[in-house]
Amino acid sequence: MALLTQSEKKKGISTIQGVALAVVVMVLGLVALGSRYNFGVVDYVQFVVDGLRAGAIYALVALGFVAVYRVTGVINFAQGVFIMLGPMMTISFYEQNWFPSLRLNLFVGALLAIAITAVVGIAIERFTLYPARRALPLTKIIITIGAYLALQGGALLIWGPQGHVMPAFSTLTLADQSFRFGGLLLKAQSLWIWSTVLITLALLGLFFERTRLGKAMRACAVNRQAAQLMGIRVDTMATIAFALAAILGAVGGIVLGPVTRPTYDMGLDLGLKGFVAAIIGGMVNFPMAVLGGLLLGVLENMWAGVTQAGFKDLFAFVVLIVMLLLRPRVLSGPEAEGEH
Amino acid sequence: MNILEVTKLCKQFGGIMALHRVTFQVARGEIFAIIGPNGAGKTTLFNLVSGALPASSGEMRYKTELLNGLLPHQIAARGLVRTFQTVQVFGNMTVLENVMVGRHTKTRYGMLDAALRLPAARAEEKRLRADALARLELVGLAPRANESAAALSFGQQRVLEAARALALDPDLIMLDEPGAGLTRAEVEDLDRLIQRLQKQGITVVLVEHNMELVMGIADRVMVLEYGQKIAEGTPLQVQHNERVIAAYLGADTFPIG
Amino acid sequence: MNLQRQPTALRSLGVNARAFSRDFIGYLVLILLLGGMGWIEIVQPGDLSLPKLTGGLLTLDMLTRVGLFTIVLVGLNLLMGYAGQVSLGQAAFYGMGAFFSAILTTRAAALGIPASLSQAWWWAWLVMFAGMLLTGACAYLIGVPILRLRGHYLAMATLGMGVVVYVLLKENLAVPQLNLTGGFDGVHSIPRLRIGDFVIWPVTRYFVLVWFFTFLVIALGLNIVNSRYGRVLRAIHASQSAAESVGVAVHKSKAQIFALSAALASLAGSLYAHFQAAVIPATFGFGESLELVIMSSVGGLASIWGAPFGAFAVLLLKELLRTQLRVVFPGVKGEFEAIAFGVLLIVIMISMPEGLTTGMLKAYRRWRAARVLKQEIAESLEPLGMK
Repeated sequence: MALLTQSEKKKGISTIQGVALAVVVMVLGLVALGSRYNFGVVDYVQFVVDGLRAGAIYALVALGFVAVYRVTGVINFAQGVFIMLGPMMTISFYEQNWFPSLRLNLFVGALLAIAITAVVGIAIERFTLYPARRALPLTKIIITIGAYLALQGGALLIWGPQGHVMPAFSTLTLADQSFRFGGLLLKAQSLWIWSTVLITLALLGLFFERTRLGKAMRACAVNRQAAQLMGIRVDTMATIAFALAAILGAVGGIVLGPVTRPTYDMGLDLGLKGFVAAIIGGMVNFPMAVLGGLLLGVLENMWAGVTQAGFKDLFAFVVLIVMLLLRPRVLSGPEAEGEH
Repeated sequence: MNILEVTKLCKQFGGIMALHRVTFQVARGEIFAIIGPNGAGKTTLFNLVSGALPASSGEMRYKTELLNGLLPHQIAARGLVRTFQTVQVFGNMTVLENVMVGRHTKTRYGMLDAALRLPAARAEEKRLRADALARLELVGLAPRANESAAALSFGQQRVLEAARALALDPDLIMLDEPGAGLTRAEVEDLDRLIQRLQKQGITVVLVEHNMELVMGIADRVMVLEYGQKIAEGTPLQVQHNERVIAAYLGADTFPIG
Repeated sequence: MNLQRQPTALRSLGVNARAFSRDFIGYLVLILLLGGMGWIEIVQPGDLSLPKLTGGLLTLDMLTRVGLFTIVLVGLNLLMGYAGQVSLGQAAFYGMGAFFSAILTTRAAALGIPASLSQAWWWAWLVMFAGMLLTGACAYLIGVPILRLRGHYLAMATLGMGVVVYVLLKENLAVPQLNLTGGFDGVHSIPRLRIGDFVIWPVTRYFVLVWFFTFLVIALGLNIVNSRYGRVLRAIHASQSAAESVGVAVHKSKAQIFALSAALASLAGSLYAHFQAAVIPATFGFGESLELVIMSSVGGLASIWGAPFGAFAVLLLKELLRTQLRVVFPGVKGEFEAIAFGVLLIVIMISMPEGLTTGMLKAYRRWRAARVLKQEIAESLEPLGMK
């Protein structure tokens, strides 16, 4: 095992260079495509700024994927549900008007939503994956798909098919404050998104570096069997990984809520994009997953800007397939356990 | 005449040399054993020769043909087969079907013949069944032909794996620790089986920890330590080689009592 | 115990004989059921009809759909159940077949195909088989690189492939000038299939046609499973490295079965296009791929007979939820369907991952074995007077 990690590390460096090269080529290609519209520098900066907003959310979702995958070896198809549950529940709680202050309503509602989503994450792990922990990967895939279907169906039942409205954090109304710098437009909600994501990442870093639990989880992520031999309860870690993924997804969904009109099925798209980001980051490494999310957000937004709107989703999935094909060696590693 | 020639074979995993400039030849028809402490690179050597892993440098030739760069199934189809240290029978099939998969390369009928069950497919299927059964008779598993392979004992699964490999009509078979986990009686059966293979003209290369077995049947023995060849010769020569004794004393007590 | 005394050569035939009799029963049951239902519907003896008998649950229309899905599922089961390679984008191939037929039978003139060809009765059939070949070839080309991935990664890659095909269908294959796929609205006025002047419509005729193809595909699937290809698929599922070690070209075999499953999906798609007379891209998205996986898991992944069973069970459950739930909860639409299928998937995968057919059969055998054992224990204890 030690031998294998060595070779992966060596390969990792060359893949980073490969990714960097691919990004440069893609940016040049996108700019070439965009030249048809006479875009100026400001337009491109605008694409990047808007792309970083979506990218920050992808990064959070990607972190959830990586955490669950590293600890349990499962790719959780139900991840998207967490992203949807966050804003949907926040809106429901907000509309209860428990407190005289709108801001307090929103804040408490968001906290409650995050907590409940975490419970949902724990429930998914405990009640669906834990009983099948020795099953083949194929079985686990279908189980998480089942969880996704059931929860999304439940959301449709509760919130209906229509889009909901979440107030912008700064104004607490639909209209958001916006700032102009020259030709550049910046919404206040973007600042909320970036600062929340930064704080979340900082807390996550502290959790992994400073707490016993975080260290135990990292040990699990590096080598499950060795961690178990050292007395770490791997089953508990799996549950915590799901809770963590749920929290990350819910936080991302909530801060994104005011700019998207949340619907019951918003999770599919965001979940898959988060997965693509995780793949770009190599599925193993937390900072790389964040980078992957930001990259995907920016490039995808540029792509959408220079082509038809209908093609927006194409980008992430073509990148997904290309990325999967470029790094099969690293990726097929942990899967081999499921063989025979 | 040599059936397998390995020259200056190296395998590097990151910074670690798993195999370093290993050179040896296996003569047609002999039983060639590879021994060495755990982590000496024996299984890595098998993985390189069978094409499961690419070599870092060096040359491997089978019947004078270069093996480097060939895929595992291409090497197997040329008559060089291997078994695995951790038994890998197809548990989702019967014992007979396991051996029939081993004879896959000896069958020709196409997907269309199969889908429409044309006479060509039927005739070949019948012959295949008989051939597979003959291999099972050889190793003594014929009475259990229709049982699920997963239902066999560990030792029998090892034997089945060998039968499956034999179904390819190999000229060279590489057995990776065939005696591991077997009972004493099963090891004796294995001993007889290997000798019978030699009589049929099949060259046998085996990695084995059971020294009694190795010293009893091997014509020549090669000793690996830390990825390097430290000795090669007849069992008697190897047993009295000082470096070999040192290597084993360093790791463990010398396992011949 | 008798089996032990038979000569080895005879016993070696045992498996085949058992498989043969099981398949024979399968055919018989399916033919009797379908024949019976078809007969009732076509002849309508004594003013009886299927919808009347079953309270509107079963219609010939629905049974025709079961046949169409069975064709897709036989391919999917070969791929997922036997070879162990997951596909979450199978609806893409189904859609490729449907749109290939739809476009070439309605827009032939715009594509510069002479009317003498496109008006001939055999044109639609030709297109159908060309579509199978084309889709199969596409799948082979996609499959060679993609099937190197395993498990979750393969699932995600096939999902991505499905989404890409869906977006292309929705966006007019990226050439809006030609308006080939009709965008969101799809293609309509697709002609019915004909043999000479004999039009295969109304649904009674189409039902017979579809099930003719379905039986053909089931037979084909069973033959493949019991051939050297079937064994190779199972070998790949059990251990890829062991399969390679005995000379199986694993990657080629996987791509081949992927291509075959795609060709079958394309056949079903073409038949669907001529059945529905209109196709829209929304039918072939991620949701449809998921539904196929659900059907496959319900019926039993590694079983050809699971295919018709899974398709029937899922469509019946959908129909039940659609018609019955509204009686209990007025105003409810598709919500419960998703919840029910989600929970169903989880329960089946945890309790019987081999699917309902195999799972229930095993449970029955266990139950019977336990009963026999109980009786034997009781009998052996009786003479001792300790009941």
